[in-house]
Amino acid sequence: MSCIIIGASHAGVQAAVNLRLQGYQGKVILISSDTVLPYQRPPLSKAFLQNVLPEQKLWLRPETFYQQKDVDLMLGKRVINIDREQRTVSLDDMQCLSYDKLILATGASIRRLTVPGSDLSEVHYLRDYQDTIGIRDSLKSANNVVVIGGGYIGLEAAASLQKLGKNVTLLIKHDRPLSHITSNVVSDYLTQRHATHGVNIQLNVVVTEIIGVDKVLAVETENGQRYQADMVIVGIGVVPEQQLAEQCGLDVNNGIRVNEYMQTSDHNIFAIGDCSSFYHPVYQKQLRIESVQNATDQAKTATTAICGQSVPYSATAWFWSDQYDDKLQIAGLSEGYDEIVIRQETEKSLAVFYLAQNQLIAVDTINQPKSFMISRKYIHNLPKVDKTILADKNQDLNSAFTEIPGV
Amino acid sequence: MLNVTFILPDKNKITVAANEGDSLMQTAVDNAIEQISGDCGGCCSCATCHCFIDDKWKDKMTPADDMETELLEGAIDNMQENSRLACQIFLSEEHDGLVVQVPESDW
Repeated sequence: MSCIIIGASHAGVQAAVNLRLQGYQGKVILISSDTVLPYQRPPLSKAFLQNVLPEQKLWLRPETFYQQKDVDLMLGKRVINIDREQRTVSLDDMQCLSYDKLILATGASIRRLTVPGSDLSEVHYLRDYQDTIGIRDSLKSANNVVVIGGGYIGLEAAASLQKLGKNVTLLIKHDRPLSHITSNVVSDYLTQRHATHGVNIQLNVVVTEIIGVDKVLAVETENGQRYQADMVIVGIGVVPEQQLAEQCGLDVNNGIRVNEYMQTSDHNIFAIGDCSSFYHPVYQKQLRIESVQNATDQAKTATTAICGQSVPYSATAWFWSDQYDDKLQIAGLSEGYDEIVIRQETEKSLAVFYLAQNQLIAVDTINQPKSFMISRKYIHNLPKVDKTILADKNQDLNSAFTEIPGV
Repeated sequence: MLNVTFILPDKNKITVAANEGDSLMQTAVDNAIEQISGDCGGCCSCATCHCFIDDKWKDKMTPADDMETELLEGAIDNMQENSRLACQIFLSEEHDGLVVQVPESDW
């Protein structure tokens, strides 16, 4: 009996851990194309980029862990083909491995810039360990850095580089940062914070060209502006890594389609984490979520099914981001809200509650961890809430969920 | 190196060797104490490393800061005076022999 896991980031490693924890007796093979031990991704744009997190603390587990748990960790190997009939996977070194169950934890790959000059040297992306190492290396001789993209990666990279004393310009295509994720309230707060810290944050700008000779010199935007750059960091999103699944004929559509047990259209193959597209029973829509929580929770769902018990996936999504000394925490998914309620404790501490038809669907908190935690406990079934209590910092937030008017 | 003992929810005790400077969360994760999951990697964002510190060690602990306290207050229903987040406890020589009680996962 054997279970092969392709991809050894948060989802893949958690799957290997859980298989053993849940008593899986067969062989567990964990395959990674990275050459270093499986690592945490969130610090790559924060503490590890700032060089304040030593490498051994980046690893998800120490090397001895895999031996102790009898997990066959294969580093620096790429799977090139899945044969569903024979139930084998072929590696780029000609090895062919058999599986009874296969878990695809292939993650996502960066979306690349396509404007002229995108292939100049010192145009960096930030997804993998090697990317951050490359950026850290280049930073030694770079002073002016242009960051492209107003998502988590762009914002966190800008904050980290500012902390390192670089001249940072942050170019955002939309009218505000995190525009697809959050409301104006949170976006405006973040814009303000980056500006206060000295980042030159530019909204509504479309990059048209990276200018340079061999190496980048400047970034040009649609309105003719040029921003001087010794280095460019691009954070414009990712696409699900679904090529292997597609090749072997599994259902894919912006991610590898899975059922509530993370099972693909082949019942011996599971897909988890950034690469999986699933129907969320609470939000009642097809989703693909890029987060640590989703990766680890889906790993649990898949391994539970493999070990013979089936518990459908319905976990509450949650996210976090650290920028400067601000902590942003998000629970739930705010898309489709029709009302917001704000609970402001101080200038630097606020919670934004998102409601749809009077049900709480998400909350974003900035430096208000207690509100995040309380909301996260209750939000899983989209509860009705007392809006007056939500907004009133002097009232216990718990009671907004337990004392509903008219119920 | 120092020793730390985790008392698991089933009352089993596991004593492990810890590195000075590591957090208690890191020590637990590295030693497969899976009830302490440390999902956020130790940046005080998720409260999945809640534990109880044996009372006699209280004086040797740096007190919880506001962020940790708020997170605990919001997250934990069975919070006690000795509740801590393991990611915020950094081990030094004086913690040799520390005893930590691990609750059933709150999540």
